[in-house]
Amino acid sequence: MELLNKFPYIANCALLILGLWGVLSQDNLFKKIIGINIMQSSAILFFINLAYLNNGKIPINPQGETGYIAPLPHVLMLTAIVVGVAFTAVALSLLIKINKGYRTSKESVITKREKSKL
Amino acid sequence: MIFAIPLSFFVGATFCILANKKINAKKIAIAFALVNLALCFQDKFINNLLSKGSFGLGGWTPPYGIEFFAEPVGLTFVCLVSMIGFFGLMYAGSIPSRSKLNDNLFFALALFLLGALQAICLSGDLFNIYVWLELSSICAFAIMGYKTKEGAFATFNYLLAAGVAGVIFLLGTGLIYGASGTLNLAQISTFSNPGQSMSAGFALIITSLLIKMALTPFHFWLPDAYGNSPTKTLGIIPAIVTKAPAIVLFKIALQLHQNQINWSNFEFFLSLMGAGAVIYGSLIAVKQTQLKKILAYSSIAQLGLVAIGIGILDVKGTLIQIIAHSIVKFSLFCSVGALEFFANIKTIDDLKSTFQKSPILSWVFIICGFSLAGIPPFAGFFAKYYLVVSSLEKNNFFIVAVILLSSLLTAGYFLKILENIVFTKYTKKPKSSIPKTTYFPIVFNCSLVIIFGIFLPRIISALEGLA
Repeated sequence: MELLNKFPYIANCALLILGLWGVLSQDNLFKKIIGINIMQSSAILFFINLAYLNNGKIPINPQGETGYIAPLPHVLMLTAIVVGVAFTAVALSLLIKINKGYRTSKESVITKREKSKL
Repeated sequence: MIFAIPLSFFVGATFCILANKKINAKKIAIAFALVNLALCFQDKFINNLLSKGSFGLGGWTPPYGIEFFAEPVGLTFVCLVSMIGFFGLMYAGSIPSRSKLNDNLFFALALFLLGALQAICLSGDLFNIYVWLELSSICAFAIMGYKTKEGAFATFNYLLAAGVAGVIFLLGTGLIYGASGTLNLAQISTFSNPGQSMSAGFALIITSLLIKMALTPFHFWLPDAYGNSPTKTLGIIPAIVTKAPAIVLFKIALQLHQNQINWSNFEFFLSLMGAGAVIYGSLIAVKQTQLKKILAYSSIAQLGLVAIGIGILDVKGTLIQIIAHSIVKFSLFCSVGALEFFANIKTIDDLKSTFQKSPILSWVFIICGFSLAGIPPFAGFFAKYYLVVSSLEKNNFFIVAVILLSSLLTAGYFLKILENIVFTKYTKKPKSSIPKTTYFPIVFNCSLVIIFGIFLPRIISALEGLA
């Protein structure tokens, strides 16, 4: 039971490490953006896990009752999702610019070309 | 009233998007920056600077509502952003756009960036700091990477670093919220005995801020991103963007220290990283030949000094270092940008005929170089002076040695530039056609370096007398 309660957090950690691995190891710049998106999802899920309560009630007009789900993390995560969307949009537009200029989106190829210039 | 300060930039940005040919975006941006400057330097605000104040948004009192928290460190930076932003926009406006770039969008994004930077330092709530940090970096990516493919690639590396840092900040916020049940910075720091998860949260937040302020192991994105950013952005981005995370870090450090949380580990850690940044940045700067790259590595070294100041919790030294460095780097980056744009001077060797092409910019180089190296009559000296004094008080001779070494190394790479400017034979080359509107912000900020140098001791004693 103890392990079952901790399972969501372990899953969060796994997602975070998966995303970080993607950012660090992938050669394709598009996959790096996906890696950051996975990391963002893990942070969002972490907040939702914090707020979760087994058999919790909906926090509308609680009237002295206890045991309802905390609404604040959900609201915060709406904002974080918007931030993530804006971030991804800028990243993709930069990637389009890079791809048009270099005709590739592989980091190793681009760094090689930049070094050969110097 | 305090909300009006960042809001004036946001309103201006909205108008910039709607601008047309008759009323162009440049004029709107400068007008709103002037409004912001007026709001920042009004009497009431200066009085606030000396007292502390908390302002709840939307009529909700702070622990429940979103809070704007006014305290001296943040407000000083707000004034600095307002001033540098005004001159940076003026500089950007004086550079004609060669490519078919949409000026409206550039000025709108620049205003959003400046507003977000001010809001970061006013916000007293961790999640809001996260949102403003992300807003400022997203605007910075957009205006740094729009022009060339090299710029786009360099900005992409910045984007990856800042993106990972953002997620780390959010996770840290989550850990602290889970442990303490609040996001309000003042309320969080009342927990005198933080548990494991809260300490882990603060560690994550501090790591994320260190990535965003490009302290040495995390500096990899900075030189290329600054070296390839378009001329228009040089007035705004390099001078202030990396200092906002530093200010947040300083605010958190002061809050934690006030509540007797053991800061000595962080002090050791930050001083060590800062010392590494100072030495590494200066040594690499000596090797560079491109002017923008030299300045970028010099920025890394100077941010190392800021980190040392934060580590030893020296308010005066850190703030003066941030102010002096912003003004100096604004002048230097803008002059390098102007020389590159109007006279095609990019490397150290190209500088040889500069004194004839543009004597004013040569004097700017000389004064700012002396200030960076910390020679007495200029502003940079006082930053180093206060840092040395407060580290001597703590018997920390390692830091004293590093600060003195940084002076020496800065002189090393700057004398190379000055040698090429001053000690070269005159050739018959025509004067370059740099417009007066480009000169004005550079010369004004450069004169501020001298004015600060002469009057700073008096200003500080006056402020101490009032407080």
